[in-house]
Amino acid sequence: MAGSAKSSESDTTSDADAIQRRLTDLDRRLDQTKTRREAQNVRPARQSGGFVLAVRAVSELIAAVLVGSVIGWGLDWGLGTSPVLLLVFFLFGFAAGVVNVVRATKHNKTGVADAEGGPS
Amino acid sequence: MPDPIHQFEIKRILELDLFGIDASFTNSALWMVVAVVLISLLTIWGMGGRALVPNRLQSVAEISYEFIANMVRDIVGVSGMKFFPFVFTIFMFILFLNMLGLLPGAFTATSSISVTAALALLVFFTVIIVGFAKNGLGFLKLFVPSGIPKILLLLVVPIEIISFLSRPVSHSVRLFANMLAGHITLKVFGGFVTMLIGTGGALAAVAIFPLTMALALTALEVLVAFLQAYVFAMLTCMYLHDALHPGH
Repeated sequence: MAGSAKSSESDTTSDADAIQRRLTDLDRRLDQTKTRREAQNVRPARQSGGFVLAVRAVSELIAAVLVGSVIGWGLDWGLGTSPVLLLVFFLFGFAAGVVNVVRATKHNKTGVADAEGGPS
Repeated sequence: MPDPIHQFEIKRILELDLFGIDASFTNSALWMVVAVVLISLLTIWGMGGRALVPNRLQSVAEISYEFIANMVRDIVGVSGMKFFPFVFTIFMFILFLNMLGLLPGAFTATSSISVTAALALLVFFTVIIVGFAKNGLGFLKLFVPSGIPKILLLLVVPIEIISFLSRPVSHSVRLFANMLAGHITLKVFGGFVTMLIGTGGALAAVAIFPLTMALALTALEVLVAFLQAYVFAMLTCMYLHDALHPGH
């Protein structure tokens, strides 16, 4: 009776071992599939990237120039220095727009690079 | 020729006046409600089965979840997953509004600047509040890039501030302008078709050209509807990233 109990116990431990092995195996295969999937996922993002980026860059530039000009115009209106600050902030706005565009394009490149090195 | 702007007219369906504020239920609000109901149906009913092998509806719900979850993880980082519900809601809301707007007779809520500006300002203020709550005054490092000579800061800080303030403008105008322009072009080409057929004779046969154009534009508009929702959500993620990690 004691022997049978012992054998069933060793059965459960070997079962647990087997399950553990299968789990780690499954983990490994899941990881492989995931890295493969992620490598595939990068591609469509890059294809639509050009169009998305073009639309983005234009609006970023215009928005920054607009905001800069409005700030300059508002300060002019408040301080009575028209049109000095409008001109200054128009240029600031343009600079900010260029910064925005550069940042948008740069961010996109690093984003793709990150996605490629991502699974690690 | 039918007026191409007519489709953007806001009509009051239910007059409502709250303490002097016109809070009428409009056709724009109606389509927003339709979008919310459809999204709720998709996510709640679609995931209701919780099948291991998903049916079509559940697949759509799961794909949209994964799509946004991956975007948030990639751009904001794993710590940004607490903003997943926020980004997911914004993406689905805009996507459904854009797509529903393509149905004949439907109103495109995202073609009014008031709707897109409200969404962009929501993101803008969320970023400011989260930024200050997480980093305190360290959030202001966003405007002061590191490793720049002191004298240049005089030039760089105003530029950075304008760049930051321009975000909600570009964020809202891009979506609004894309939807507006797309629907106007569609309407104009559609108008050509009816005009040419109306004149009859040989000119009616020419109507095939604007019709082809309208067809191609509709396909393009489906793409734009998705891409604009995608861009809006992606930029929301980037701004949230800035809020969590100021200082480039």
